[in-house]
Amino acid sequence: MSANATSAEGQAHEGHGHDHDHHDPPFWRKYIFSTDHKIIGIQYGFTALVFLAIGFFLMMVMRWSIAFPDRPVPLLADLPWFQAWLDADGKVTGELYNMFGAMHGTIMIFLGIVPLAFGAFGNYVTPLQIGAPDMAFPRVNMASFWCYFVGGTLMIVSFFLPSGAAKVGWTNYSPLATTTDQQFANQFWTGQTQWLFAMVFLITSSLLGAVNFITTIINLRARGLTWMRLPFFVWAMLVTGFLLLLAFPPLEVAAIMQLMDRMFGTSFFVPTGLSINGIPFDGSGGGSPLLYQHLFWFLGHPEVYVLILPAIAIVGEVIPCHTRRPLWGHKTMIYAVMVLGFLSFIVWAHHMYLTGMGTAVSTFFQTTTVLISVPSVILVTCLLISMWGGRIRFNSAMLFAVAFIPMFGIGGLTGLPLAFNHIVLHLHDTYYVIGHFHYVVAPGTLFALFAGIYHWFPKHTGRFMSERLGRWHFWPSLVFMNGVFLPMLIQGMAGFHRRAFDGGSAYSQISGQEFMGGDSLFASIFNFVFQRAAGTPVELIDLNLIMSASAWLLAIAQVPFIVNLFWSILHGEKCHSDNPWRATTLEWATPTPPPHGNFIDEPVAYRSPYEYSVPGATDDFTPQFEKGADGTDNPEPETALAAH
Amino acid sequence: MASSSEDMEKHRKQYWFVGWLLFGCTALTLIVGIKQYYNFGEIFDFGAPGVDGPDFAVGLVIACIKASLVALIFMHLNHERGLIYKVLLFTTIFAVALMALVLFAKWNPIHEAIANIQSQFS
Amino acid sequence: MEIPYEVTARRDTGLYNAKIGIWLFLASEVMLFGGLFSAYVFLRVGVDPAQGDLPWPTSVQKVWIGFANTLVLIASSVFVVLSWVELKQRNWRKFQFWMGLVIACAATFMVLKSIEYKAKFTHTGIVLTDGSVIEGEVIGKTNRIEFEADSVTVNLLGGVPGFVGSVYKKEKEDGDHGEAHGGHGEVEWEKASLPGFTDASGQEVGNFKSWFLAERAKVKNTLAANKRAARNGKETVKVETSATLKAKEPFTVLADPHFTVAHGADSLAFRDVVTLNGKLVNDTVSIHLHEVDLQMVPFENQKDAQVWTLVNNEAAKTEWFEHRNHARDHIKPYYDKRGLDIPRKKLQDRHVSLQAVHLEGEGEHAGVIEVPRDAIRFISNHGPRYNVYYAIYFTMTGLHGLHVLGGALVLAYMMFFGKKLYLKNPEHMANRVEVGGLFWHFVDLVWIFLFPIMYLF
Ligand code: HEM
Ligand SMILES: [Cu+2]
Repeated sequence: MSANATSAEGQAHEGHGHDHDHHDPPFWRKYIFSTDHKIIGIQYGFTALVFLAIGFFLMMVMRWSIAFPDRPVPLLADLPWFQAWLDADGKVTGELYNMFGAMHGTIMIFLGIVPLAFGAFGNYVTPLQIGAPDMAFPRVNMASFWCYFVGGTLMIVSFFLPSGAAKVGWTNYSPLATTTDQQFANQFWTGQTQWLFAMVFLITSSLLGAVNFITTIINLRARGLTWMRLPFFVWAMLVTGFLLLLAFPPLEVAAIMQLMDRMFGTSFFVPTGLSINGIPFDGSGGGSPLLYQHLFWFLGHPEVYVLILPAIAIVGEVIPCHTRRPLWGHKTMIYAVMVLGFLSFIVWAHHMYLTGMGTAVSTFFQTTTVLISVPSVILVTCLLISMWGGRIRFNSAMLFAVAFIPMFGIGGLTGLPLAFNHIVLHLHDTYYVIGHFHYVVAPGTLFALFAGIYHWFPKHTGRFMSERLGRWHFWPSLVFMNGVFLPMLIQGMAGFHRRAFDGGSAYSQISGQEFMGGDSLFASIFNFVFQRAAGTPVELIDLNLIMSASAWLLAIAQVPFIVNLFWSILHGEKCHSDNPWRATTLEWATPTPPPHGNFIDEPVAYRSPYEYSVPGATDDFTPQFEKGADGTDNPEPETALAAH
Repeated sequence: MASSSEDMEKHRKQYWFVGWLLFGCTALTLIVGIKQYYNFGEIFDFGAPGVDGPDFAVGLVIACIKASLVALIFMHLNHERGLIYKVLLFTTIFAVALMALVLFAKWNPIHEAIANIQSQFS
Repeated sequence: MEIPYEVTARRDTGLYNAKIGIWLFLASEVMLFGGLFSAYVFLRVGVDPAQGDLPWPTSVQKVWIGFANTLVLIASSVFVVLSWVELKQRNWRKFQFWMGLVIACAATFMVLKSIEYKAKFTHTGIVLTDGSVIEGEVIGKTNRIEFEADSVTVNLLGGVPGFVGSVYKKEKEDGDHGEAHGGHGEVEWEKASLPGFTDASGQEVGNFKSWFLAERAKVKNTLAANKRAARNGKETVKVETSATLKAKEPFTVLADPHFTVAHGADSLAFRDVVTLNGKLVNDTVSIHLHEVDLQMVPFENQKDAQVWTLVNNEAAKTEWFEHRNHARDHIKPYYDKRGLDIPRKKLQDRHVSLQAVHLEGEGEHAGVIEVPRDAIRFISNHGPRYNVYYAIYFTMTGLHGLHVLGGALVLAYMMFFGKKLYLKNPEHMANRVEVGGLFWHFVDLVWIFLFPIMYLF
């Protein structure tokens, strides 16, 4: 290994020599245009957290509009940008709601969760866990981050264009997406067009990242790290990499074709005879909006697994470590994740049941969709069983990891009915769907990501995050997450449509149904909290108040986390070893923080990754990198792949 | 890949040979494709005159042959590692799935059957 | 720090990093072009003339260009592998020679491509309301609406007007035959070349844009105040949400109909709800007629197609029908032999229903016909807009062309600047060429499919 092992903080470490001949690269090479996977991971992480905050902010404005469609938004009405978009009374306009809704979805998915889960954790942890000095292509890695950064910046810049940002939902369906903003002379600088441009950058970023991850995992595994000795995290990253690699290009095609439609007047997604406000569309027609939907969802569905697999991967690392038990069914999970990755490519049209798709094909997609729930359930079950009989440390990381399981469970189980097209007839585009996938991504993935942050924070900083603040973060988050999303399921089943900026008040037949009678306990608490006359029955639409209040309180619940993150860097409790959690995987064999090049001595894996509480062992964990006394140790890599 | 001088000489010959083969195939495609009934009579006319399904099919088959030649010989897939094959296998499956399922989604046997029955009564 | 397996293969996988990387990248490229090919099939199968779609145009390309380009790319593919062989045998000069030929091939490819693209952009099709199609070359800028405006009406609640800034101001008339040529100087509102404006009260308007923004803010504020007043039971003020500016002197624009939503004898409305008032000067398209295409008109009715009233020339019409019948008779023996009628699809086929038209005439205006705008359903040059076929054609070949360009740049870089690495580690350089070559072959492979589906069938 290279001798350039000086750590960022200059902390000295026993057991390895420094080579002072090497000069540190200048600041900007080291921290800004860095090629070191750890720095890039952290760059990804912080950028993604900022975007998550932005997405969160958009959502809070939306929740105001839903809860109080007839009241001006507090605080924002006087800000210059908002003046143009709020109506004369300072209320949220439908247009603004659409813009925020579309951008909330886009930002959360493409700029928040994926970069945090895959970009940050994947980048930081994967090479460490496989004992590699860095990614296989460090400069490609840097390019990937900067593509992401440019794409994200364009998305944000588009808010400030005269047209505002994109408004057609995160799915950006044509022909609406094609014809929106056409009144602007400069088609290039409109929100809709910039959305497409930004997407092309983001897609490029993901493709570069995916190529890099897969190559790294295939070719840079440490000696002794055979395929079945790879931690589950690495496997999940490998499968995620393939999802990104093969699913994104069709969306790139769709983006390019929509760009052509907008900029050059083609009709890829515009049918013959379309007219807008009575004016015939000036184009040849002959295209198909369904083509867009197919290309979009060919990415869209694998994308949801890109959101969830890294989450399961993180939980799969946190749980064994903090229960001191091996990951139950490690092999099963590996096969499950591969099957899941495969199936996720052939379920996409379950988002399109109502498009008049043929019955035969619809049956195919219903079948595959039901099938894919099997590996998902296997994964969750394995995680659950892993805790059986363990000596669980309920620290912050573990709390979030444990909460992930039931939350993701709710998200997954509420998704099952949506696999059937006769049920979707009723539930399509309702808040039920919104509730379902938010359970997966918000209290699901987000919780797992928090768990990951609490878990790996000591690796980079040499300090723990504060447990007290962690608890203050966890419990309110858990409560309010459910406060936001549980009522959505109820409203959705009653028929509340999604993307309604007034929260459904225009449809009083549905929204005015009674949810709880005025004399019920629920109603009395509700009336007390929201200061309404006692005895007023709670209507379905009143649930909006609970959800919105929960959403804002959820924001407040994130304050301890933000404080914790920065405070603990300098003042957290110090770790006294490089392996403070007494974990087994290779990342804990590096110095803290890992120097450029990561490992001081060449790492070798002698055993499988989760040897906790092995009967007869002296300690309750045996790291992968520890040579055992008995003859079972085998540092030689199996020739799993056909050697030639 | 072995890279002794002799091997390389063999490669060189092989590459030229495949190159000429590809040229020939291209010419064949051209003949099948252009308006035969003016120029070539019916020898190369696989379907009816003009652009026709069978001609198209033959043209695509030739294209597939050419593509495999390029992939196998020029891109050295003929002696590549299993890993690459695995990656390409899955890629092909997904690409074909994309094309096929998107097409089939237009096809509605049950509606067709119903329409058939209805037409019998009207 | 060094990344392992950059040059040498790892034992169990048998591959070096870049080899895995490029194959993964190619896998994603397969999906990219797979998506495009899927779109091609989907669009082509989806064309339904019964729904008013234009039929899928086949054999509209100059086949020889596609053919030549196929040969050029195949040759370049051979040269790439040969250059790699030379590098493996450590002949730097010969490597450079073959690589040079590759670059030359790439350049040839691009030149042929640009010839082909250019021909399409200068060729225009006009679809008339009954579906008959006129093909030819538009004279000057007559496919634009020529309009002389003396005032302009803007919507004060809308976005900042922009289209009038993007249309062409008519240049000085050409003394010879009174056609509008050129139109290069783009007009912008701020530009001094436009006449100044005065608002309703006779006040001079300096900068149009800032005037507009200020007015818009005023109107919005008044509206807000009105709402507040209404809530408090106070009186409200009347608000004009549109304003008309008078031009100091009339000015002429040539408006792209793509950006307009409606126009009449005295007004022209743009997409951004800006309306010019004045008078319509010229609204007919002059086109040099090359071909008439009646694929969308049933075979029996082709005699009454709308296009003939515009052509208004019996001799040309007769000639067209002679050619058409001749083409039909060509394919007849095939069906006669099998005892079949010629299928309708074949009769309506482009080979039968599209024939050249020769209009006799003198001087500049020979063969030119005038098409009034209200007879036109759709007009466009044969660029991507013309129909879905051209759209997918330009998208696929354009993307493919970008790949050719990118690949050629990388290979050229290796050829010119690879010596240093070659001297340091020749195997590393050979690997790079192999990887670059893999990409190049893939680009060739895509073209192998593009040639038949775009040019032949
Ligand atoms: C954490 C708290 C979150 C809350 C309270 C929240 C709330 C909302 C709300 C109110 C909507 C609009 C529903 C509608 O009008 O139809 C929405 C839409 C959406 N959210 Fe979230 N969200 C949260 C987190 C996330 C996360 C983490 C993701 C990440 C993937 C996400 C992805 C989406 C998407 C894709 C949409 C659909 C946008 C569209 O209609 O096009 N949300 N969310
Ligand atoms: Cu899905």
